Amino acid sequence: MNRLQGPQFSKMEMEALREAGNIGVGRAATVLSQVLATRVEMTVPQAQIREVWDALELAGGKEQLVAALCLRFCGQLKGSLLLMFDEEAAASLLERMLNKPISPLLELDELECSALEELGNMMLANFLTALSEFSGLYIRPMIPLLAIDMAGAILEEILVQTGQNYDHALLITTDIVESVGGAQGHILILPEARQLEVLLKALGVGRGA
Amino acid sequence: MNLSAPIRVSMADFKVAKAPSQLITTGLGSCVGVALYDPVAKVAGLAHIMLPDSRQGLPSSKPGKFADTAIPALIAEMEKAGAVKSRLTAKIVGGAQMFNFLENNSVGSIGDRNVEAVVRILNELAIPILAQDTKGRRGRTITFDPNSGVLSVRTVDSGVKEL
Repeated sequence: MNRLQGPQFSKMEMEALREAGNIGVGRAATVLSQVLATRVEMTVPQAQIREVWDALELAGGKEQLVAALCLRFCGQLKGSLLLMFDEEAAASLLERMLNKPISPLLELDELECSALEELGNMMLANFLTALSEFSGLYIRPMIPLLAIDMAGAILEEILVQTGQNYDHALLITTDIVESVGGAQGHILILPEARQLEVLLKALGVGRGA
Repeated sequence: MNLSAPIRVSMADFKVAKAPSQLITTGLGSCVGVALYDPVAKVAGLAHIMLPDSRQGLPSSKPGKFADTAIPALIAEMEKAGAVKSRLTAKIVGGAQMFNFLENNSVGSIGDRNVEAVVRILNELAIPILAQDTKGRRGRTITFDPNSGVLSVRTVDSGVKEL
């Protein structure tokens, strides 16, 4: 991998990464659908390699208030999963999980916070299980963490944490939309840069695979 | 120059401006915003620094990524715009930690290390730090006005405060 110019991956390799994301997101969407007992749809994931400073643009409205769950993973593949809900989506999900009026996002009580953590953890842990099965790699989830803040600042912290030594990050992004409340979430996957080749090799498309 | 469109400083970058332009960087998380100001020439510079030390990581194409390379590069750019180094003052913002990563308990978070590196480098360069709003658990958006030298800091729960 050329550190300054960034990793070059073929169309087939990017397709394999996208497919890995697709399978994971499918499993996460199924969990959401089971918890809420409604239908959940997801967009086809996009896989892209971006310079880390450029990747921040993917947070959309960088100052938008979001609830974000970060699940980092280690083992044979290392990286981070980030799940983000805007205020409206988080409230809509919590209302149906807890069956009570929900506090504003900045004033969530302990029960609301743990419900959100639990939902995010189930979605992301299932994502990792699917990714692990698909790639045959041993992937161990770490402790899920919740933050409620500006989307840009949250993504920035994860990008910096994940890609300290590299200028490029692989981002697999997708939107999930739940049909009743219309709650939307975004999932981002950030394998550490040097992990990309590990993943590709496990998927059977990497060089030397 | 357009008052309604501030100059955006993205992560790992720095920009220099004179009045009436404003400098803005949105969503500072663990990164640190370093605002340097020459009050006589009214030249302002803003850097959005990602990491403390260029010697610890692998090489980057961006001097603005690391504190030790970004600050001298920003000063050089400000001098080209008419600033004088001995007149420069600094305000620093950012270095938060929004997620409570456990391993940071022993080594300190990236945010903490960023703030410490910036303070050390500014001290070495004898640039006085007039104000700082650093560390903590909140992301910040900052706007820097070259006319007044005022740095406005916005967070999601405390509104806007001026440094």
